[in-house]
Amino acid sequence: MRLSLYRPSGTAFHRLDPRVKLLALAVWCAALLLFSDPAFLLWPFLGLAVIAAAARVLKAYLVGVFLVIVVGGLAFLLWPLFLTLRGQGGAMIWLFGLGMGMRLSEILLGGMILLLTTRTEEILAAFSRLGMPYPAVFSLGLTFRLVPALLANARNVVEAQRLRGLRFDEGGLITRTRRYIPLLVPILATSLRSAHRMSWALEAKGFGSTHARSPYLVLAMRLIDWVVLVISLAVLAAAVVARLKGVGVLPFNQA
Amino acid sequence: MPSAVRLEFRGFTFAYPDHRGPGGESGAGSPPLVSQTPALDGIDFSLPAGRLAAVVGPNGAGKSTLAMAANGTIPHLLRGASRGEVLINGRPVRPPREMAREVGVVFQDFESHLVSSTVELEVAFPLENLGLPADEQKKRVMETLALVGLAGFGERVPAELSGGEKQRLAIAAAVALAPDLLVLDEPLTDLDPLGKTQVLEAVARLRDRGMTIVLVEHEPAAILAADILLVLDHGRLAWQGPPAEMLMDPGRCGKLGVPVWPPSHVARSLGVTPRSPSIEDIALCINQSLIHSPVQLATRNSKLETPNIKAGISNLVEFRNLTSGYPGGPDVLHEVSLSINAGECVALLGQNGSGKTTLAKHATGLLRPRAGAALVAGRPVREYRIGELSRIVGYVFQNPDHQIFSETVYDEVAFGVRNLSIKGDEERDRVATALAAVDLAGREKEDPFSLTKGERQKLAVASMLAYRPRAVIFDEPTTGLDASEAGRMMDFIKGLNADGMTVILITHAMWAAAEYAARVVVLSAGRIALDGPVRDVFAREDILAPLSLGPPPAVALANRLGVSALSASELAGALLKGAGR
Repeated sequence: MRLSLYRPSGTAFHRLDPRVKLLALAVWCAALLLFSDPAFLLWPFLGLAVIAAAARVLKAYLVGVFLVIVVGGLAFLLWPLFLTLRGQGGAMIWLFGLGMGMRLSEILLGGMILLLTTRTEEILAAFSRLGMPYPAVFSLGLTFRLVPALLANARNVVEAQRLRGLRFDEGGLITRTRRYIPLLVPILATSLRSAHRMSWALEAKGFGSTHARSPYLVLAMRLIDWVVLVISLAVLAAAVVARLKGVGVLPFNQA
Repeated sequence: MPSAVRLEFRGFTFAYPDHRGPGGESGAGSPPLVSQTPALDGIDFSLPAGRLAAVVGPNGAGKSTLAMAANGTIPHLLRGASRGEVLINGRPVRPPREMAREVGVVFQDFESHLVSSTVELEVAFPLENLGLPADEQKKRVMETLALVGLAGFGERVPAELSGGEKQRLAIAAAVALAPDLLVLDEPLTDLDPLGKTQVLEAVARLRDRGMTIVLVEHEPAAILAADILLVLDHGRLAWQGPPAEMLMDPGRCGKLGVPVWPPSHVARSLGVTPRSPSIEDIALCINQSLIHSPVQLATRNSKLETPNIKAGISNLVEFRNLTSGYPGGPDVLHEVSLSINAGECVALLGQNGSGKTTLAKHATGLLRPRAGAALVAGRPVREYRIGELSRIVGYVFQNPDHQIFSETVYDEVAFGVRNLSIKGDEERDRVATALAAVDLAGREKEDPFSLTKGERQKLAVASMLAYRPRAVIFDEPTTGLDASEAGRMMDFIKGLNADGMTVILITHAMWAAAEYAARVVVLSAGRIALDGPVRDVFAREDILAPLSLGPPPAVALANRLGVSALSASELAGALLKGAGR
């Protein structure tokens, strides 16, 4: 059972400083929000595919494209609805909805590429270096770590109770809620027990000792990181300029 | 110069807060309500540097408590009433986080303690906590991984490792700080035979590097590997001494709850005294004694048994060219065909990942094949509703805690019966019969969570028996049980089979398969490697060895002596008869 999207492979993209990757993602989101023309917004999909191919996660990326079509499709359907309610009309609102769906998809896919190529610990280290306090970083990390264990545990409980005839598809609301007790009690009891042991195991490994913690992952900006940082900022600047010149924007007043 | 004493217990006594064992929900700051019977009672021993001590004893004897006391988890994190002292390197033990450089620990249930997204980060975690310089951390991670046989695994994801690899990773994380003492609490439980061998090899390498090790374990292989044996019983240190001395004395083993070493049982029955408890030495010794007796070779072949097929529907459970896997994953089973007749007792053997559990779950409807079919009582599984299938094929999961939720033992068993819409007298009758079958009659009003692990296992069995199925699948029924509990569980399963129940046994315990199953099916990489009467299968060491499935010790000894036998007593009987005694 795994939840982490991370695919280990030592491409240059994998080895980029996670702070740079986080910043590039922020730039990506900001730049995308400037544009609304669906035809123009096809280009970022291509850009993402190129990055995914370079990072050797193209296959996972294509699966992701398939998944976000659902999210994008939802935006495509909902945005025109809101706009119609606000008194807008015409074919343009459908184009706008389509553009909005594409932007959201591209933001999600950008985030996905980050998670595919960056270990949880690297993202946490980046947060830590960007000023997040260590207890908060550790709790966040622990959440990531516990979820797969909890899910594996829950799957076992569900299998065991299904074979004992537990059904969820019958009865009224209260009966149905009561049916979750046979799942919740074992899941909570085993999780609590294992959480206790985990805290002992953490202490046995010196967690919370008086020493100053020193991270295994040393974040150091190399030349390539600076180059990517500069390129990211250049992309943002170019996007702003393009937007000011009216490129990639639908001739449509949202307000 | 005499070697320094690494670990010393001086009159150490500890009692848990009332009704709470080592797995309980008690933590720091618990009320001082103390159990009447101490978990450890006046423990005195000292362990010299560089030695490997095995700690054995029945469940509830205090083994885990001893492990937790060795790094200060008890009494500093898990409080109770304690007396006496635990000393590491001559100094009283301090809270665990201050002991990390001196003691490494791997607790039971280690899988949920693997907390990192890659192997190297897992090993680096304690190094980070103690603030070692980054380049020193890198060096230590690489060295430690090599030491436990995981060199080159650094970038791998822990969740995707095999059981034995995960356990060695947990050990690597515990020894990354190069502690003087390593404590392992039942590290072999749940591992397949290959995993067990690899973990023991890693432990041996650490000992050779001078590390002092405390190994809590039921497995005879672990006891054989130790320098010193500590036997716990009811919280007291019942015996300490050289492991060989204990293993060569089956009578004393039985009395103290130490797992009997079957080859010694054979040697004792024949009245021979081998040099050491190793199978080689015992075989040599027996052969020498037999040379002097004239009738040996004539009877060195006992008859082959055929599977025990009783009247009833044949092919109760059948798999036809079944190919299957988990969603999004590769095929785990490849065109497996197997039919199991009513009344059989079949053991499924194979390493983890060979497809044993996956195959068996197809008979319950929990999994659907990608190709081929699973049939129960002649009908394809997909035609049954899942509740209906439970009336024919019951499944007992490995961990009873994944299903126990009720407030009383009675309600726990009645839950499944009520789901079949059975009420009133018949409900009471079924629950009573099922509880009586597992020896829990009279405990109806008790809280299931206060039962011992062995009792909870029985409760899960009773819950399933209340369906009155015709076949039962047991998934690793002896895991986590001590020698006598495991023997009783297997005797119980044998009794069910004798009463006509079809039994499918998924197990890593070779002795259980050899002594209790009539037929053995060996799976390897999703295909059937061997299928036949138990004697035939265990005689094929040529096929079993490459699959890392050795026969159990008694059968290995029998094979060496050229005798067909499935248990120590059968082997002893055959040899005595052969020798004309």
